[in-house]
Parts: sequence; C-alpha cells; structure tokens
Amino acid sequence: MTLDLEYSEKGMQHNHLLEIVDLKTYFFTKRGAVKAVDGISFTIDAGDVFGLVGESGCGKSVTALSILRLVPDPPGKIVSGQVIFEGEDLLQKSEEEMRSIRGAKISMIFQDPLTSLDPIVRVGEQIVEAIRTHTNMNPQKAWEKAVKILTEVGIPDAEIRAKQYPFQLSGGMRQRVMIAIALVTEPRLLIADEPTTNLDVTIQAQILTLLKEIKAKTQTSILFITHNLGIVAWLCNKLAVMYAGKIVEYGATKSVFSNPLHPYTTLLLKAVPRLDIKKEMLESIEGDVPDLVNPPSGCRFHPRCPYAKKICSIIQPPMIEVEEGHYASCLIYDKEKWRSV
Amino acid sequence: MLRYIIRRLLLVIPVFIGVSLIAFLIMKLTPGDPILNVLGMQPTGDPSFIAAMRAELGLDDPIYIQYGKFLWRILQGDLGRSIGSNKPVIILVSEALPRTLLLVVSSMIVAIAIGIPVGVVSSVRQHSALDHATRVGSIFAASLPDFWLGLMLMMVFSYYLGLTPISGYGKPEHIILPATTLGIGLAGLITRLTRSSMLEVIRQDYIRAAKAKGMSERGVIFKHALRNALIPIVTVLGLQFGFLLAGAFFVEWVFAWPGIGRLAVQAIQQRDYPVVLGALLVTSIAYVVINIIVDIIYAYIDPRVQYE
Repeated sequence: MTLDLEYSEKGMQHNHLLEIVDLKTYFFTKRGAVKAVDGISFTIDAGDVFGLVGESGCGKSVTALSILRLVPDPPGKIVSGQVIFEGEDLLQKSEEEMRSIRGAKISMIFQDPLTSLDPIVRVGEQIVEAIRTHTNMNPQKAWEKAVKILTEVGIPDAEIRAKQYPFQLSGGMRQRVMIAIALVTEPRLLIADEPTTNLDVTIQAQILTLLKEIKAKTQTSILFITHNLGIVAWLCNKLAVMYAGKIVEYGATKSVFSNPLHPYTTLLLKAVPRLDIKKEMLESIEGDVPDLVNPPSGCRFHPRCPYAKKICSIIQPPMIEVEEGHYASCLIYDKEKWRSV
Repeated sequence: MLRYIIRRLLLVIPVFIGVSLIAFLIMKLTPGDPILNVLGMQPTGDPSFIAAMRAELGLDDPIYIQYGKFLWRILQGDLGRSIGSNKPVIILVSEALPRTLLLVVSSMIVAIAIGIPVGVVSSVRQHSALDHATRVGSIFAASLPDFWLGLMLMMVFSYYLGLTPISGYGKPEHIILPATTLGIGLAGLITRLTRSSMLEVIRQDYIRAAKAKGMSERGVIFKHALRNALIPIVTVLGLQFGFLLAGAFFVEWVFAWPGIGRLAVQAIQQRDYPVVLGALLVTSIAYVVINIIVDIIYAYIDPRVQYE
C-alpha cells in the first residue's frame, strides 16, 4: 500500500499543493550509484508547515533540490517518480518552464546565509533581481518593494541596509535577507533547508519566530528541513522522518510525537536531550548511517534496530497506516508477517 | 579612497630612490668605459681630450657624488643627455614609454578578448571536447616563446600573406602582429585562470541560490559567476602588466617597435648610462602607478576590499 494509492482511493478531488510520488534521486559516482533519495512519497497541502527530519546525509536536502530540479547534474539525476505541484508534474516540465516556477511559485532558502548571498552584489539588488526575474516591474519600483520587504522581515533601517553588501550584515540579518528574497515573489511554497543551523541560538529563535509569523500572515506553505526535532514540534503541523534515503514515518506532528511508531523515530526522540529528566549520558543510536551505494537489504534500519528480526533483512517494509493519517514503514505493524517468523 | 591613492603615490618615492640607486650601482660595477665606447673602443684619442670629456660628464667624481648629482638632477626633471645621441633622456623615454604602454595595453586587450570568453565557455561546458581542446591549447599558447612566435607570425602574415607590415612603427596596422605575439601567451594564462576561477565560483552556494530564484543560466553566469570570478583575474592581469612592460622588449626587438624595452637594451649595449637609468626609472614608476590603478579597479569590482 503506497501513499499515492491511498490518496487516489480517497478521491482525486483532494488537491494537494505538492505531491511527491516515489521519488528517486541517485548520484552516479565511480563507486556506484549513491541512492540519496530512494522512493519517497509525501504530500503538502496549502497552509501546511511540513517538517522533513533526519540525520545528516539521509537525503533531506537532495529531496528539496529535486523538487526545484536543482540537483547538480552530473553526478546527480532524478531517476524516477513524480513531483506534482498544483496538479502538474514538475519532472515533465522544460527547463524554461521550471525557471518560471523557481523563485516565483516555489522559493528556497538555504543553510548558510553568508555563502548563499552573492558577496559582491548589494542585498537590495539581490532582492530586485528576484522580483525582476519574474515580472517587468521597473527598477525604481522593484527597489522600493525590496526595501519594503526588508522592513517586513524585520530589518531596521532597511533603506540603508538595502544598499549594503552581505559582509556588512550580521548572520541573522543575512538570513532575513534570504527570506526576503524568497518571499518577495509571494510563492505558494517555501522550502527552508536547515535555515537556522549555522546561526546562534538566540538568532535561531528570532528567525523561527519570523517564519511562524510569515506562516500566519501569508498563504505560503513551508517545507522545513531540519535535524532538530524541537523545531519541528514547535513549528510544523506534519512531518516525515527520513532514514537513509527513505521515509520511515509520516504523519501529523502531534501523533508522531505522542505516539512514535517507527523504532528509529522512537530512538531519535529519546536522543533529544531534556532538561526535566536527569541523565548521566546523552542517548545515542548504536551503529552508523548506512552506505547509500550498498544500502542494507530489507529495512535499511535493521542493522541498528533493537527490535530487528531476520525477516527485516529480507523484506522491504511497506508504508503502513497504523492510525488515521499516521504511517510507518516497519514490519512490526504488519501483524501477519511479524508473527510468521 | 583619495587618501589611499595619495598614500600609495607617496610609495613612489622609496621605489624611485631604491631603483635609481640599484640601477646606478649596477651600471658602475659593470666593466667597460663609456668614453671608450663612444669613441669606438680604442684608446686612440688625445688623453687630455678623454680626460676633459670624463670631467664634463662627471665621470671622474666619486661614485656617491655622481649618484647625488644624478638624483638632484632627476628631481628637477633632468635625466641628462644620452651619451650616444646627445638627445635629452627625458625626451627619449617620454617618446618610448607611451609606445610600450600602447603595445602592452593592446596585447592585454587581445589576451582578455580571447582568454575570458574561451575560459567561461570552457568552464560552463566542463569535460566537453571544447574544454579539453581549450586546456591543451591554452598551455600551448602560454608556453610559446615570444620571439619565436613573433617571427612565425611575421613569416606567415607579412611575408607569405602580405597582410601586415613586417615591422616598424607609425601606422595603426603596425601594432597588430606585436600585440598578437605578446597577447597570445597571456591569453593562454587568462583562459586557464578564467576557467579555474569560474569552476570555483560555479560551485558556490550563491550560484545555486541565484538559480533557485529562477534566473537563466546566462543570467547567473554573467551577473554572478563571472563578476566573482573576475576578482583573481584582475589581480593577475595587474601583475602581468608589470611583467609585460619589462617582457615586451623581445617583441619590440623582433618587430623594431621603438618602445622603452628596445631603448633600454640598446642603451645597455652602448653603456649609455643616462638612458639606461632613465628607462629603468620610468618603467618602475609606471609599474607602481599601474598597480595603484589595478588596486582601484579591484576595489570597484570587490566591495569587500576597503581602502582606509
């Protein structure tokens, strides 16, 4: 039972903003194909803040780049699947059609705001560029709009700041500029790839608060990529947990946090340090992230899973809807197979 | 910025003293007698005449006096007269220097016009056949000796095809072959540099971010990639300008281009000290001034560079 089937059963009238169906993105290296994203499916509806969670190297960022078709090629290639955005498959579009979507309907902000801004172009100019790539607004008006959006994302003295270069701005301000660039075109979907990872904790909180405000004020849905479960709990209404190129659990934030289904999710939640419980050591998950050229057979998590049985190394577990809208890809929930061994 | 320029210009003073001193000492330590040179290598003349000439030219003063006098005169704008032609040195060098600058600037235009576009295309189409050809071709171009390339071009374009004058100075077409000769080697260097600098920049996050804005590949390359890639290229061009000022002399010699390099070499052969010193001095001052200009251009293309 795959996700897309599930939804088609419920009826096609349910129009998702973004529907990813069995997406596979591989990187072809001399060692072999790195299966960075290996058959993932999820949906984002209008108004969602969707959290995509996982360890470094599990394929979160590659998923984001695949949506915009910005995977570096070579060596990367989207091998198969569908990325259905507003009813149309982005993987079937021409490069020119994609350009009219990138930055206009789907915007992206990146992990490192210093390296993601052109160091020798004034920040205001970089916002103007985003506007004028998609509209014929005259430079004067576009500049005014750039200053206005800088004010909206919380940059004081926006008129002066717009004329400055990225190196003259603090890390937090740079990320606000990135957000301004992404939002100035009023996109339907904002992809935020670990936007606070490289920021101080206090600045992190400010940026997250800003994203939450944006959520409340605009129609923009957000795909939020992070390894930080605390942020997901605070910001997102839905989430998917990725492990080694696959989604292992998927559902509403509330259900996942109150009732984690997949052993990996359970262990991840245990690994979050908590101030209210006294512990000598931080919890960690035994073992290493698997090699994605030769991933483990069957369930990719089985070598590290405390509950693994022999069958786990043979059968690739399907997505199972354990409670309504809450899925996990673990054989424990397939009672027949689990008992049969 | 103005303060920075003034401070940099003040740097000309120690450069000037240092260069004049070193050049002066080297000339003095070189064996050979300028008087005998002028008179034709044989000490056949009247000894009193030779002595009088020596005194007139100040050649019998102690060396430090000679240097002091020399420096004092220069500061008044008097570089002396050529021992060989008796013309004022200031006239000789101020005629020759602009010709060399013209040659160097033209060859840099050739190098930039070839190197940057080819380097950009090569980087954007990395690993294509064109890229491989460019890499081999640019190494080849950078390795050709100027004097040999000059003679080859002269043979093909002037002698066989009759398209360009063989050598000389005066008409606009006289510049074509010398500028091409001098520019091709530099074009090889600039091609390789542009390619590697572009490849470095293309991998940067802001290029991906620009693509995520929906910009076209062309827009991303010209508005973001090339502008950033130019920063190291400008540095190298600035340094190369200095090398070309000095290195132009092979080409000037081959094409009988009456520039400062040719003037200096002729003067060295004739032990014409005032001309040698004048040429050295003017060349080194030009070098310093050009570096200041490069720094100003640098600040213009890279706002992170602050001159205070």
